[in-house]
Amino acid sequence: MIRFHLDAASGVAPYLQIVQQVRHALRLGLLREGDQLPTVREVVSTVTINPNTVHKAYRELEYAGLVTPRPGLGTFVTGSLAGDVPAASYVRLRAGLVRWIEDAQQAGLDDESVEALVHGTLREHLRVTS
Amino acid sequence: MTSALTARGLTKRYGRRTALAECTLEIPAGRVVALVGPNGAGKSTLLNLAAGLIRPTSGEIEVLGDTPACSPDQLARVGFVAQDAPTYAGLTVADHLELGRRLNPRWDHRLAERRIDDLALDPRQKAGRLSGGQRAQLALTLALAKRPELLLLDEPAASLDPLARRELLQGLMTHVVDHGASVVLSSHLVSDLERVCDHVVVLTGSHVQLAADLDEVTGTHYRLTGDARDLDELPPGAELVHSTGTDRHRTVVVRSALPVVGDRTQVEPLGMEDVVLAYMARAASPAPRPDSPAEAVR
Amino acid sequence: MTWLSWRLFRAQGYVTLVVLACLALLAVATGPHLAQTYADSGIAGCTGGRCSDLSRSFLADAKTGLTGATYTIGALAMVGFPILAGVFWGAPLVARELETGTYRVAWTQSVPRTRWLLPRLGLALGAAAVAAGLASLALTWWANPLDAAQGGRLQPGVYLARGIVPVGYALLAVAVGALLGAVVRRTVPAMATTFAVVGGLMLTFSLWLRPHLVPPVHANVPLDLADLQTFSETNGGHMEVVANFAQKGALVLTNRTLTPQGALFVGPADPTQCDRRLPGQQCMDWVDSLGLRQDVTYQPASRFWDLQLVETGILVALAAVAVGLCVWWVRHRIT
Repeated sequence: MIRFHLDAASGVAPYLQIVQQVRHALRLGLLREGDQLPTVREVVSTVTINPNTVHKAYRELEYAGLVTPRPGLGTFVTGSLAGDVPAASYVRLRAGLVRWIEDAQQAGLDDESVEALVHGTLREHLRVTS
Repeated sequence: MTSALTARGLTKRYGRRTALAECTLEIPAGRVVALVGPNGAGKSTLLNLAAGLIRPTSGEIEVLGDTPACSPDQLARVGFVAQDAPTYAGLTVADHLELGRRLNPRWDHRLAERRIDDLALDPRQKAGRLSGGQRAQLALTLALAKRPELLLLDEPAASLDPLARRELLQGLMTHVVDHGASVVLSSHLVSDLERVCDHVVVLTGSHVQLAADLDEVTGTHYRLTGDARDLDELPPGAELVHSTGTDRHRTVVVRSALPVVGDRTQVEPLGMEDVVLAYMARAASPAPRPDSPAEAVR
Repeated sequence: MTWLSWRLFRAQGYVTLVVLACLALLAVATGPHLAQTYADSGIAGCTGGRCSDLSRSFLADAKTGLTGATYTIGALAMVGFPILAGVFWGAPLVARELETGTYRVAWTQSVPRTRWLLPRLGLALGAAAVAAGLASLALTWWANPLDAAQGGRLQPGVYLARGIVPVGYALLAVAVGALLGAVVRRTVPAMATTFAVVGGLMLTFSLWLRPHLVPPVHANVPLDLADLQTFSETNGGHMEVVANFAQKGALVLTNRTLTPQGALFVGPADPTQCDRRLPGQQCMDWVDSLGLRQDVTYQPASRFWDLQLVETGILVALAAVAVGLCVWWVRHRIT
């Protein structure tokens, strides 16, 4: 079950943060079709947040075709953002990434250097291939 | 949707001191309303008027469609926690719950006991021996277990440490989910209200400066930064809220129904806290710039 | 509201019960003995001059030891109780809630202000009346022998501690205290003001009003020089002659010496009969021969219950007015 968190200092509206966190989880395959989103009450009791904000976020996700409310049962994921990429690919790629990170750390890179290397390479590569 | 609170030209004077001046307001039901402003702005006065503890000098106020405290029925529909959460020092926590039970027809004793249990309060402890935070929680329990349609909370978390504040707001939100209720909560601290409220009323110097849904507030206020000359003229349809800076470089907060795009100025949307601060700053230094009128925004 | 009224009054109620119990113990310990001593003394059936001697010795004897202490305590307690009730039960009733802010809890439950106030006020008034009534009943029974020997109960120190008047003062004190508490809004100043007002009322009644509550009896009798209060002569021959009014237990309002024609007697002294420096028997005989009359207005001892009823009636009416004002003030002026 996904757990939400609110970052008060981020400048992003609370409901948008919820929407983004659901979309993010969908992309990463942490949430899949058929999974149930936490009920409004569950969210409110773990995160200090206005219930209307949660309703609003779930409505927005519904309009985006990503979730569907089933009265009396809850809100369930019905769409996906992962595209045609099967979940297994995500798992494999993630594992590869973890191995590469361990490799970099063994080579002597600190956390900041790892991040800089990843970001720099990503930017360069995306620029070249887009 | 009915209105939780309606005020028309509401004024309260104590001798020569004006606590609230010509306040006109309509707060829709089903909202969690943040009533914000500096100390002495009139927040307590407004809440006490709404609870029927004081009467207006002029103007009118209606709560849930009725004059405040006009009947036992009306009193039963409104829950009030005063500033500093007064309690009977000689009565125990259990006595307070009994007080609530005897004096309120819609009293939910199970809810009250469960809350006291969750809060780890000793029912046999005298209220005078509780800490400030515990007293605040006890007073809130009294108001919640009454199952009111409208909750009026005057600085409920003022004397609490951040963790206790968070717990109090958490309990409040859980109650709103479980039982539904409109809430008006006043605070001079704004930072943690944005996640909890969905309607904002800004009160400074006894006047209402702003009253709108949170989305509208965050969606229609912008901060423009740039050259003073570029900011001499505001974007079309934008009203000035507050301006600071030097003759060369200025920072301006505006309200605009239309999206604001800056060409030579930097434009940022604002969160609730920054918007409120801008209105409070405006009230603190009301002298407007000669060519941009400053208007009270409704 | 009944529960809350009692819960907030509980401590004071228990204290009062304990005090009443102690007073009852004292009364029971000494009362029967006192009654017996009185019966044995023979004052009840006596006539003539021996009576005053018997009474004097009985009274002197009774006011010693535990009985004497009981008398003093009883009198102080009875006279002081209304003031204490007003100060400790009446004044803080509304004032304490206003001062501590708990009225913001009390008046935002589902009970309007009047429905909150009346039961609390009613309990305090009722408790004060019952406590005063029981105590007065006990004290009036206990002190009966002493009062009989004294001949009357009209003197303020005795009158205020007998019969139904203490109940009247207790009710008035609580009502006035509650009203002052609502007006003043702070507990200690309200208590002080209540003390002054109730004390002032008791003094006012005792000193000036009580003798006139029922039309006094008027008597005009020959002046009897055997029992003189004043016999003096000043430089210019001005004389002042006043005789005691001997009726037992009476409350004297005016006592003047008049000439046979009805004018106030002021002399002048006959210089041949009355030597200014030493008015002697010769002067007295001369005055006796003038046929002067003693003109007295007084309340006889038998008027005790008439006065009590009238005074209590007035006090209860005043208390009702104070209660009405208190309710009105709480409803309309605390905003």
